[in-house]
Amino acid sequence: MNRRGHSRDDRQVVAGLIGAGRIGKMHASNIQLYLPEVLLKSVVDIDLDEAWARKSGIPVKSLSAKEVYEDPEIEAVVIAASSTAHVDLILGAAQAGKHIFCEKPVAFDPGGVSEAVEAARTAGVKLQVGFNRRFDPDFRKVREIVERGAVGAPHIITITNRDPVRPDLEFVPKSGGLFLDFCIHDFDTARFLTGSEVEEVFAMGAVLIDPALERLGDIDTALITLKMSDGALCIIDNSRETHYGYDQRVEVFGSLGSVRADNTRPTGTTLSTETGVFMDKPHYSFVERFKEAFVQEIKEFFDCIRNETDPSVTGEDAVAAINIATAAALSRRENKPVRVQG
Amino acid sequence: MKSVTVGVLGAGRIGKLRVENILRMRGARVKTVADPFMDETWARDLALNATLNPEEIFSDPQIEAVIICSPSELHTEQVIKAALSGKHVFCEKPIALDPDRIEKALKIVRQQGVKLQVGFNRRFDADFMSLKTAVTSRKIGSVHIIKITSRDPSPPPVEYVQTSGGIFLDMAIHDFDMVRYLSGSEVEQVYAAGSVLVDSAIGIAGDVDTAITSMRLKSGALAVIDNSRKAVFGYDQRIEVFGSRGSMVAGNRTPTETVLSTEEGVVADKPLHFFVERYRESYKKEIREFFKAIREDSDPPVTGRDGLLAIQIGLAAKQSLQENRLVMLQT
Repeated sequence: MNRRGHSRDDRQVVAGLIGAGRIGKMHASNIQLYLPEVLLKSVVDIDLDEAWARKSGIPVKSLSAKEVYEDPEIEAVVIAASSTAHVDLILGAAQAGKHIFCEKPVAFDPGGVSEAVEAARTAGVKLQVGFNRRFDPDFRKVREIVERGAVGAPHIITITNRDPVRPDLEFVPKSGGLFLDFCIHDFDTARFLTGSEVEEVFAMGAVLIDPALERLGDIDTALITLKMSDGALCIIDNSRETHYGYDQRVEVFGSLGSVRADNTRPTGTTLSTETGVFMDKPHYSFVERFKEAFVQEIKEFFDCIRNETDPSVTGEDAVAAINIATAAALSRRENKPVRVQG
Repeated sequence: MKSVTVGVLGAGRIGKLRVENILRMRGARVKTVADPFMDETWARDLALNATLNPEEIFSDPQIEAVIICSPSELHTEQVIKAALSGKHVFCEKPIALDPDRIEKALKIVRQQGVKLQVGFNRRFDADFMSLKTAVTSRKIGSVHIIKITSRDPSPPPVEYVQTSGGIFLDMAIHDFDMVRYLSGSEVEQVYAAGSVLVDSAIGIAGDVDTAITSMRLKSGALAVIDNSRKAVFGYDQRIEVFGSRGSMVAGNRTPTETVLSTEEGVVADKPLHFFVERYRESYKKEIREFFKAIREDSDPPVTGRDGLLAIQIGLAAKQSLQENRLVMLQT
């Protein structure tokens, strides 16, 4: 099948999408728009948006993941279902011999993540976790600069990660909480940018935006200190609501200098008037800010399948991130620094 | 304008700067400068009444106010002497490293009814004052997160670190005060992580050269300070206040605003080199405010209590680092 009339010799990968919510739809559209070498054959969602499904032209609408797993034509699955379902879906896919791309977090506990990673390893299938920020051109450039030693040995890493608007209260209990749902990206970013491991975590949290979050056992504002294995220190600050957009900044300060990635904006214009100097706000949400990163991560996943190489984001990365998140949650509960397992 | 007659104790780097600033100021007159190691050439060039003996200042009935810029270990004693001589006092931070000594000095200052201002000059920096205005006018709503980056261009000599009280008391102390100033709240909990990454001699001296201090404030807000003794590109001084309605950032100041773009890339100026350059105007403004408080008989904008509380936060941070735990402050 060749929907856009291109003629490439590269073999096509047939894939299934499990979970077609906001993220799932985005992956589907990225695959269809930018990856002519991939055929998205099936979609599974217990509450499928029929109108979207029709428009997307995905040929098969399956009622269960099992149907996808039993389809011998399908080589790979993209799992973007609710986080609580990830582990079982990975186990099923691995058993069926499908390569797996799974959104983060894989699970809410280190045991679940390890089980999923182990299952993929045993089955010999590829498993890539959706740490999309590793594929962002800005974050990538920062990593390249650090890697080639241009800022020397990292001393202080600062990560700002703030959402434009608090999540729906319905989502909160299913999210795993701020550390697992949101900061998990930052934990991965700290490891990615420095190339070193996190040894100890201290987390301070607060409910400053919406008292309802407190009743649900979650927080909306946090400061997290990470001690890295090479002695570097990292500070992450989080908020669930900025009002001015998606605030994403990283800086690596080292013995020879500092490199920083600031917010990107829809346009680079500056308006100066009697009232002041105005620039665009940062991109509104992760969809806009990490648009390119989402395309690149899914492209790399399918490239790895086609070229029989290993994804650059591994199951071990997911294990490391969940271990840090678990330590952070414990640190906040007990108000003390916690060593990271692993 | 009634002129305030001043004596300056200590004519080292900062003392000289103070004297030169006051000489250009209306409403104040430097009568005497005392330093046992006086730079005679400097004093002669400025035609100062210079002495090696600080007693000449304390015993001079004409002198209404003293500016204490001597080595830190002399501060407490000189504050007390000045107060007992009935003189208003401006004292560089810290009054002492020991809270009991500070309280003793503050008690005497109170009993004597003289004014005392502590040298937290950064409160008078135009950028940070603008942040403060945004907070008080609630332009950014209620404060949620305060982030301070404070990094020196090069580490001090190890001998200094041995007596200064270390990074939290000689350097981060300004940042602790800034957290209190910007938030208008008090620090209740402190957690500090530290590392020796710049100079192992600092580690041998028992200090760290890289630190991250996080704090929980009485208002519920969180604050974090990252410090380094060495930023090779200059004095890195940035603050962000993030609140319920938005955020405001004060970035680094540069000598010029020029940007050079060539085939190799885009190059801007590095930040101003160090505190003398970066906070030049704030040193003048804080002293003007001190003289104004004397002339108008009002309260100085930075009090002895501010000096005490910053030291207490610094000591809590030090303890937190040593014991690797969260430390609660008694307030």
